[in-house]
Amino acid sequence: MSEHSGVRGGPGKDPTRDPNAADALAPLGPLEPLGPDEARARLALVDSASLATSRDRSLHVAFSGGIGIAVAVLLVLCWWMASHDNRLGLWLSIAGYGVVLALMFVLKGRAQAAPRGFTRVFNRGLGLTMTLYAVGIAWVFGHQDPWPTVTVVLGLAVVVAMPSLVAAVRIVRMGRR
Amino acid sequence: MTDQQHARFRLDEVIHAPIRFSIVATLAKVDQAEFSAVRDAVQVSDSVLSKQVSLLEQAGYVTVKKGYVGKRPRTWLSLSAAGESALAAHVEALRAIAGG
Repeated sequence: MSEHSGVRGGPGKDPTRDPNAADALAPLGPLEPLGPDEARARLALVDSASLATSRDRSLHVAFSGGIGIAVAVLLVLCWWMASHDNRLGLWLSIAGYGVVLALMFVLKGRAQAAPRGFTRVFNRGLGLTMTLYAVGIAWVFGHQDPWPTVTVVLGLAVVVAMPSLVAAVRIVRMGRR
Repeated sequence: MTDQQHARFRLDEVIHAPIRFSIVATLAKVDQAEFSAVRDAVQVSDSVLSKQVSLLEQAGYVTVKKGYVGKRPRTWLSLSAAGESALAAHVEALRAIAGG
Protein backbone atom coordinates (compact mmCIF):
# COMPACT_ATOMS: atom_id res chain seq x y z
CA MET A 1 0.00 0.00 0.00
CA SER A 2 1.39 3.33 -0.97
CA GLU A 3 0.53 6.02 1.58
CA HIS A 4 2.00 8.68 -0.66
CA SER A 5 -0.26 8.12 -3.63
CA GLY A 6 -3.28 6.89 -1.76
CA VAL A 7 -3.76 4.04 -4.18
CA ARG A 8 -3.27 0.31 -3.85
CA GLY A 9 0.11 -0.94 -4.99
CA GLY A 10 -0.15 -3.05 -8.13
CA PRO A 11 2.07 -6.02 -8.85
CA GLY A 12 4.20 -3.91 -11.23
CA LYS A 13 7.41 -2.02 -10.47
CA ASP A 14 7.56 0.74 -7.89
CA PRO A 15 7.85 3.94 -9.98
CA THR A 16 9.56 5.79 -7.15
CA ARG A 17 12.44 3.27 -7.05
CA ASP A 18 12.77 1.91 -10.55
CA PRO A 19 14.09 4.56 -12.96
CA ASN A 20 12.72 2.77 -16.03
CA ALA A 21 9.27 2.42 -14.51
CA ALA A 22 9.39 6.04 -13.35
CA ASP A 23 10.26 7.10 -16.87
CA ALA A 24 7.33 5.12 -18.20
CA LEU A 25 4.99 6.77 -15.71
CA ALA A 26 6.34 10.28 -16.35
CA PRO A 27 3.95 11.24 -19.16
CA LEU A 28 0.96 9.97 -17.22
CA GLY A 29 0.77 12.68 -14.60
CA PRO A 30 1.00 12.36 -10.83
CA LEU A 31 -0.76 9.52 -9.05
CA GLU A 32 -3.01 11.67 -6.90
CA PRO A 33 -6.29 10.73 -5.29
CA LEU A 34 -9.27 11.54 -7.49
CA GLY A 35 -12.05 13.95 -6.67
CA PRO A 36 -15.70 13.03 -7.32
CA ASP A 37 -15.80 15.00 -10.59
CA GLU A 38 -12.76 13.27 -12.05
CA ALA A 39 -14.05 9.89 -10.86
CA ARG A 40 -17.31 10.59 -12.71
CA ALA A 41 -15.37 11.62 -15.83
CA ARG A 42 -13.44 8.33 -15.72
CA LEU A 43 -16.61 6.31 -15.26
CA ALA A 44 -18.04 8.09 -18.31
CA LEU A 45 -14.91 7.07 -20.23
CA VAL A 46 -15.48 3.40 -19.33
CA ASP A 47 -19.05 3.62 -20.63
CA SER A 48 -18.15 5.45 -23.82
CA ALA A 49 -15.01 3.49 -24.74
CA SER A 50 -15.49 1.80 -28.07
CA LEU A 51 -13.12 0.05 -30.41
CA ALA A 52 -14.82 -2.46 -32.69
CA THR A 53 -16.15 -0.59 -35.72
CA SER A 54 -19.15 -1.53 -37.85
CA ARG A 55 -16.64 -2.68 -40.50
CA ASP A 56 -15.05 -5.08 -37.98
CA ARG A 57 -18.47 -6.42 -37.03
CA SER A 58 -19.42 -6.87 -40.70
CA LEU A 59 -16.22 -8.86 -41.29
CA HIS A 60 -16.92 -11.11 -38.29
CA VAL A 61 -20.55 -11.60 -39.34
CA ALA A 62 -19.44 -12.49 -42.88
CA PHE A 63 -16.82 -14.87 -41.46
CA SER A 64 -19.22 -16.69 -39.13
CA GLY A 65 -22.12 -16.88 -41.60
CA GLY A 66 -19.77 -17.66 -44.50
CA ILE A 67 -18.24 -20.66 -42.75
CA GLY A 68 -21.71 -22.07 -41.99
CA ILE A 69 -22.74 -21.71 -45.63
CA ALA A 70 -19.41 -23.10 -46.93
CA VAL A 71 -19.69 -26.23 -44.75
CA ALA A 72 -23.33 -26.75 -45.80
CA VAL A 73 -22.39 -26.39 -49.50
CA LEU A 74 -19.55 -28.86 -48.98
CA LEU A 75 -21.99 -31.39 -47.51
CA VAL A 76 -24.30 -31.08 -50.52
CA LEU A 77 -21.38 -31.24 -52.99
CA CYS A 78 -19.98 -34.36 -51.30
CA TRP A 79 -23.39 -36.02 -51.61
CA TRP A 80 -23.78 -34.85 -55.23
CA MET A 81 -20.34 -36.08 -56.30
CA ALA A 82 -20.83 -39.40 -54.50
CA SER A 83 -24.26 -39.75 -56.17
CA HIS A 84 -22.56 -39.46 -59.56
CA ASP A 85 -19.57 -41.54 -58.49
CA ASN A 86 -17.29 -38.60 -59.26
CA ARG A 87 -14.18 -39.02 -57.11
CA LEU A 88 -12.30 -36.18 -58.79
CA GLY A 89 -15.26 -33.87 -58.21
CA LEU A 90 -15.34 -34.93 -54.58
CA TRP A 91 -11.69 -34.02 -54.05
CA LEU A 92 -12.10 -30.79 -56.01
CA SER A 93 -15.04 -29.87 -53.76
CA ILE A 94 -12.93 -30.43 -50.65
CA ALA A 95 -10.05 -28.43 -52.18
CA GLY A 96 -12.48 -25.63 -53.11
CA TYR A 97 -13.77 -25.61 -49.55
CA GLY A 98 -10.17 -25.28 -48.32
CA VAL A 99 -9.58 -22.29 -50.62
CA VAL A 100 -12.82 -20.59 -49.53
CA LEU A 101 -11.89 -21.19 -45.88
CA ALA A 102 -8.40 -19.69 -46.41
CA LEU A 103 -9.89 -16.62 -48.13
CA MET A 104 -12.33 -16.16 -45.28
CA PHE A 105 -9.52 -16.27 -42.72
CA VAL A 106 -7.68 -13.58 -44.72
CA LEU A 107 -10.90 -11.53 -44.68
CA LYS A 108 -11.28 -12.00 -40.93
CA GLY A 109 -7.66 -10.94 -40.44
CA ARG A 110 -8.53 -7.52 -41.85
CA ALA A 111 -10.71 -6.80 -38.82
CA GLN A 112 -8.87 -4.65 -36.29
CA ALA A 113 -10.90 -5.68 -33.26
CA ALA A 114 -13.15 -8.52 -32.20
CA PRO A 115 -16.22 -7.26 -30.34
CA ARG A 116 -16.62 -8.43 -26.73
CA GLY A 117 -18.10 -11.93 -26.62
CA PHE A 118 -17.49 -12.58 -30.34
CA THR A 119 -14.96 -15.37 -29.80
CA ARG A 120 -17.26 -17.33 -27.47
CA VAL A 121 -20.31 -16.95 -29.75
CA PHE A 122 -18.31 -17.77 -32.89
CA ASN A 123 -16.57 -20.81 -31.38
CA ARG A 124 -19.87 -22.27 -30.18
CA GLY A 125 -21.47 -21.75 -33.60
CA LEU A 126 -18.50 -23.18 -35.48
CA GLY A 127 -18.12 -26.12 -33.07
CA LEU A 128 -21.78 -27.08 -33.44
CA THR A 129 -21.72 -26.63 -37.23
CA MET A 130 -18.63 -28.85 -37.58
CA THR A 131 -20.12 -31.49 -35.24
CA LEU A 132 -23.36 -31.53 -37.24
CA TYR A 133 -21.34 -31.72 -40.47
CA ALA A 134 -19.40 -34.74 -39.17
CA VAL A 135 -22.62 -36.44 -38.06
CA GLY A 136 -24.34 -35.48 -41.33
CA ILE A 137 -21.59 -36.73 -43.63
CA ALA A 138 -21.33 -39.98 -41.64
CA TRP A 139 -25.10 -40.40 -41.87
CA VAL A 140 -25.22 -39.66 -45.63
CA PHE A 141 -22.43 -42.10 -46.48
CA GLY A 142 -23.79 -44.67 -44.01
CA HIS A 143 -27.12 -44.82 -45.91
CA GLN A 144 -26.34 -46.65 -49.12
CA ASP A 145 -29.77 -48.22 -49.44
CA PRO A 146 -31.83 -46.13 -49.83
CA TRP A 147 -29.39 -43.41 -50.83
CA PRO A 148 -30.53 -40.07 -49.25
CA THR A 149 -32.65 -37.88 -51.52
CA VAL A 150 -31.76 -34.31 -52.48
CA THR A 151 -34.54 -32.97 -50.21
CA VAL A 152 -33.13 -34.78 -47.19
CA VAL A 153 -29.56 -33.64 -47.92
CA LEU A 154 -30.65 -30.02 -48.47
CA GLY A 155 -32.56 -30.14 -45.17
CA LEU A 156 -29.47 -31.54 -43.48
CA ALA A 157 -27.34 -28.77 -45.02
CA VAL A 158 -29.66 -26.12 -43.56
CA VAL A 159 -29.37 -27.75 -40.13
CA VAL A 160 -25.56 -27.85 -40.46
CA ALA A 161 -25.33 -24.17 -41.44
CA MET A 162 -27.80 -22.99 -38.79
CA PRO A 163 -25.50 -22.72 -35.70
CA SER A 164 -22.97 -20.54 -37.55
CA LEU A 165 -25.76 -18.44 -39.07
CA VAL A 166 -27.34 -18.00 -35.62
CA ALA A 167 -23.89 -16.98 -34.30
CA ALA A 168 -23.67 -14.39 -37.12
CA VAL A 169 -27.10 -12.99 -36.16
CA ARG A 170 -26.04 -12.83 -32.51
CA ILE A 171 -22.90 -10.91 -33.47
CA VAL A 172 -25.10 -8.43 -35.40
CA ARG A 173 -27.26 -7.99 -32.29
CA MET A 174 -24.19 -7.58 -30.06
CA GLY A 175 -23.21 -4.64 -32.25
CA ARG A 176 -26.56 -2.93 -31.72
CA ARG A 177 -26.29 -3.00 -27.94
CA MET B 1 -14.71 7.62 13.02
CA THR B 2 -15.08 4.52 10.90
CA ASP B 3 -12.90 1.44 10.36
CA GLN B 4 -13.79 1.36 6.66
CA GLN B 5 -11.00 2.53 4.34
CA HIS B 6 -11.67 5.42 2.00
CA ALA B 7 -12.47 4.26 -1.54
CA ARG B 8 -9.29 5.90 -2.91
CA PHE B 9 -7.24 3.18 -1.20
CA ARG B 10 -9.01 0.62 -3.37
CA LEU B 11 -7.90 2.30 -6.60
CA ASP B 12 -5.46 0.18 -8.55
CA GLU B 13 -2.10 1.91 -9.05
CA VAL B 14 -1.45 0.24 -12.38
CA ILE B 15 -4.81 1.24 -13.86
CA HIS B 16 -4.98 4.61 -12.09
CA ALA B 17 -2.72 6.39 -14.61
CA PRO B 18 -4.91 8.05 -17.29
CA ILE B 19 -3.40 6.42 -20.38
CA ARG B 20 -3.34 2.94 -18.86
CA PHE B 21 -6.89 3.48 -17.65
CA SER B 22 -7.93 4.41 -21.22
CA ILE B 23 -6.16 1.33 -22.61
CA VAL B 24 -7.81 -1.01 -20.13
CA ALA B 25 -11.25 0.61 -20.54
CA THR B 26 -10.93 0.30 -24.32
CA LEU B 27 -9.81 -3.33 -24.21
CA ALA B 28 -12.70 -4.15 -21.87
CA LYS B 29 -15.08 -3.65 -24.80
CA VAL B 30 -13.42 -6.20 -27.10
CA ASP B 31 -12.14 -9.78 -27.00
CA GLN B 32 -8.95 -8.60 -28.68
CA ALA B 33 -7.77 -5.64 -30.71
CA GLU B 34 -4.91 -4.82 -32.98
CA PHE B 35 -2.17 -2.60 -31.56
CA SER B 36 -2.80 0.16 -34.12
CA ALA B 37 -6.54 0.24 -33.36
CA VAL B 38 -5.85 0.72 -29.64
CA ARG B 39 -3.22 3.37 -30.44
CA ASP B 40 -5.75 5.31 -32.53
CA ALA B 41 -8.53 4.92 -29.96
CA VAL B 42 -6.37 6.10 -27.05
CA GLN B 43 -4.65 8.72 -29.24
CA VAL B 44 -1.05 8.08 -28.26
CA SER B 45 2.13 7.33 -30.20
CA ASP B 46 3.38 3.80 -30.86
CA SER B 47 6.19 4.18 -28.33
CA VAL B 48 3.94 5.46 -25.53
CA LEU B 49 1.41 2.69 -26.12
CA SER B 50 4.18 0.10 -26.29
CA LYS B 51 5.61 1.29 -22.96
CA GLN B 52 2.24 1.35 -21.21
CA VAL B 53 1.24 -2.05 -22.60
CA SER B 54 4.53 -3.48 -21.30
CA LEU B 55 3.68 -2.25 -17.81
CA LEU B 56 0.16 -3.68 -18.06
CA GLU B 57 1.58 -6.96 -19.33
CA GLN B 58 4.06 -7.10 -16.43
CA ALA B 59 1.16 -6.57 -14.06
CA GLY B 60 -0.66 -9.46 -15.74
CA TYR B 61 -3.54 -7.26 -16.87
CA VAL B 62 -3.00 -7.37 -20.62
CA THR B 63 -2.06 -10.25 -22.91
CA VAL B 64 0.06 -9.52 -25.97
CA LYS B 65 -0.06 -11.87 -28.93
CA LYS B 66 2.11 -11.47 -32.01
CA GLY B 67 1.33 -12.99 -35.37
CA TYR B 68 1.07 -12.45 -39.08
CA VAL B 69 -1.79 -11.66 -41.44
CA GLY B 70 -0.31 -12.62 -44.78
CA LYS B 71 3.23 -11.26 -44.62
CA ARG B 72 2.35 -8.36 -42.36
CA PRO B 73 3.29 -8.69 -38.68
CA ARG B 74 0.47 -7.87 -36.29
CA THR B 75 0.28 -7.42 -32.53
CA TRP B 76 -2.98 -8.22 -30.77
CA LEU B 77 -3.86 -6.98 -27.31
CA SER B 78 -6.49 -8.36 -24.97
CA LEU B 79 -7.51 -7.89 -21.36
CA SER B 80 -6.66 -10.87 -19.15
CA ALA B 81 -8.96 -12.25 -16.46
CA ALA B 82 -6.79 -10.47 -13.86
CA GLY B 83 -7.16 -7.25 -15.86
CA GLU B 84 -10.93 -7.63 -15.95
CA SER B 85 -11.07 -8.16 -12.18
CA ALA B 86 -8.74 -5.22 -11.54
CA LEU B 87 -10.82 -2.94 -13.77
CA ALA B 88 -14.05 -4.04 -12.08
CA ALA B 89 -12.58 -3.31 -8.63
CA HIS B 90 -11.16 0.00 -9.84
CA VAL B 91 -14.51 1.06 -11.35
CA GLU B 92 -16.23 0.10 -8.10
CA ALA B 93 -13.83 2.36 -6.18
CA LEU B 94 -14.43 5.17 -8.72
CA ARG B 95 -18.20 4.80 -8.20
CA ALA B 96 -17.72 5.09 -4.45
CA ILE B 97 -15.62 8.24 -4.90
CA ALA B 98 -18.06 9.71 -7.44
CA GLY B 99 -20.91 9.02 -5.05
CA GLY B 100 -19.26 11.30 -2.58
